[in-house]
Amino acid sequence: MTAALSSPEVDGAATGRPLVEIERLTVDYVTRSRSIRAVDGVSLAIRRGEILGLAGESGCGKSTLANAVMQILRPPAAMTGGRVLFAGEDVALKSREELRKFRWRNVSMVFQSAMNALNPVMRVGDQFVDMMRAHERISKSRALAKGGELLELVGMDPRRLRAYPHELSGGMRQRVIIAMALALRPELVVMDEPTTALDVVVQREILQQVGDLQRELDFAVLFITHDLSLLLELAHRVAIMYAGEIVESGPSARLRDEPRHPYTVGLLQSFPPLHGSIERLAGIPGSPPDLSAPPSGCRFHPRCPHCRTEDAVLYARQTTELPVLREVAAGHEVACHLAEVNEA
Amino acid sequence: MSALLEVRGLSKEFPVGGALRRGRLHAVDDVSFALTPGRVTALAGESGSGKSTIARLLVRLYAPTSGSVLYEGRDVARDRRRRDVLRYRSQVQMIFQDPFGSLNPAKTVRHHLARPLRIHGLRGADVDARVHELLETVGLVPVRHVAEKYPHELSGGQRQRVGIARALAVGPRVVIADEPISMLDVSIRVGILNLIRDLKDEFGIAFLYVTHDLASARYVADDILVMYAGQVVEQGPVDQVLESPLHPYTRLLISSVPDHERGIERIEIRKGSASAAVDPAPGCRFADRCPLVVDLCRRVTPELVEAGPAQSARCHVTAPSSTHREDVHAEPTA
Repeated sequence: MTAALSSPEVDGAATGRPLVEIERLTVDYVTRSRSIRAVDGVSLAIRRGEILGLAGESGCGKSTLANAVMQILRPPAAMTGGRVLFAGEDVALKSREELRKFRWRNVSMVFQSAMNALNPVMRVGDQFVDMMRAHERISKSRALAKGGELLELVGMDPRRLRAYPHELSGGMRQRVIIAMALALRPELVVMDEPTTALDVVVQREILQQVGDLQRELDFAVLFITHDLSLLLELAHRVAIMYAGEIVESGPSARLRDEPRHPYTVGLLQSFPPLHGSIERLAGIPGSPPDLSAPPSGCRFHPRCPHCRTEDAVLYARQTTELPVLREVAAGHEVACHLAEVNEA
Repeated sequence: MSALLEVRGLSKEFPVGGALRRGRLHAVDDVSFALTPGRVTALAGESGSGKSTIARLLVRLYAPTSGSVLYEGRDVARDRRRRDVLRYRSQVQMIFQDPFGSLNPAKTVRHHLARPLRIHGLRGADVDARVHELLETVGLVPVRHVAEKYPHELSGGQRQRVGIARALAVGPRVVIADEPISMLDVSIRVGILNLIRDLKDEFGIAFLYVTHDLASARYVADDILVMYAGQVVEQGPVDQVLESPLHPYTRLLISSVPDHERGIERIEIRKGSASAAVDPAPGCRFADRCPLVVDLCRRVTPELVEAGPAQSARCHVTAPSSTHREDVHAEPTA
């Protein structure tokens, strides 16, 4: 009666090289007056066929990271360190022509608002045709037929090809852009807050659809959101991002059951429960830091319940030394001075 | 505790459609409920349910098509004199969804709080004292520091606290909170919900908490009304409704909430009509999406029927009314 949305267990057998390898990536926003480091030395891997969730709040750098993977960073944002490998190749070294093929054939993207991706004055079908003909030699009628198949794939009536975007509901528009993202059967789909603007029932439908499609077509997903609870249901692995850095990552079940970073713990305690006893939730005091002047040492320390002047030695480290990601269990990494102390 | 703000048979229609196809959207259809001091009532539903329209009707941004809004027993729609309207506005205030959109970017926090105070007659040093008091109440400290800030210098959560402080400025007895946390980061939301709980306890304010998120409704509210296509489909004490939902839409809403603690339920995806509230035909507006639908549902609009201690639902199947039970099993009466 209850079937899992996806089976969020780690694929034990490592299937060769990861599809995407982000190595010590650094992205700065550079203006005349100052430079802000939005992504600071992030290393992350996405395996073939896996759903990797990237969770973080406003300004943590997650969207910037996604844009770097797609190579769609625009000034004043610029990659200033590290690299992104896709199937072993450095994406920053691709020519314009190679990038044009790369985007949409190898990687495609689904944005928060479909209206950021859809042309309001063209019928949906014509946009499919446009998109497919930009990437392969195909007749208009064949492209429309494929468009119809894609709409069916996402649970829509193919006759909707004739609709203009404004004639569709928010949920349907989002399905259209998911269908477009899958058109060329990419190996990776980057989804940046794809359901945030949608009602909760529509959101559930879309997530279910994404889970079903992913199992059927076996593409990898980088799913970016501020809502960690979605990721715990949908993703195989989850990475938590804070102030430009990854602070914890691991199998989603582990992060749900044994979170180690105080920020992850705080996030998990920010969701009022739908069932069971209601206790007063603490949330996380304070707010995410201003990246133009981030806190010294561990960036989370001003908000951390375990950062106390009483523990002088630990406090000194927390306020001066940046913690490093270390493995605490198979596939589970945490960047936290306290976690290190507890491991010792 | 008797009702402070009572809504009776409230309805609001909007004309829709272009030149050729004029219709009427029944955005709010015959809604009745009451707000009591010291209690939070949640109004839950998705886009198009009518919940935001109700919020606007209660603060008089719209006028009802029919039905009444009674404050302390008096129908406020009858108020014509500025003095009466002003008094109502000082007693019934609103907190908006967009913490940035509801603040003037060119004015300081102090200005935002002082303005309603001045409009309602406060002067001089009293204004400053009250501004500082309000900032303390909503946890924006140090007050002198925050008072001089502009909206863009504050975080989303801080801006929302300014919005709440502004709503509290003239001492309202009723606060309508229209999705106050949906645009805030997850780690910030709980702080705002806790503030609402504290304000309810400390000042005995009657809150209407409009939301599409059932989990936050459960955390902060005492009672809940679930809305679909302009109608109330279920109402009752929040724990009761969420533990034992009667209406199929309530059940759908509950199973759609991400709940990593409890595990996942697949939901049945059905094609639904987004326009169920435009020129609605007789019958249940949820029929097209309902897993329990029977023939009667498409012919006769169900009424809100009491089906449990203080719980009522609008559903022929789970909360049948005595009238329609007879209609279905019609027998000649003497």
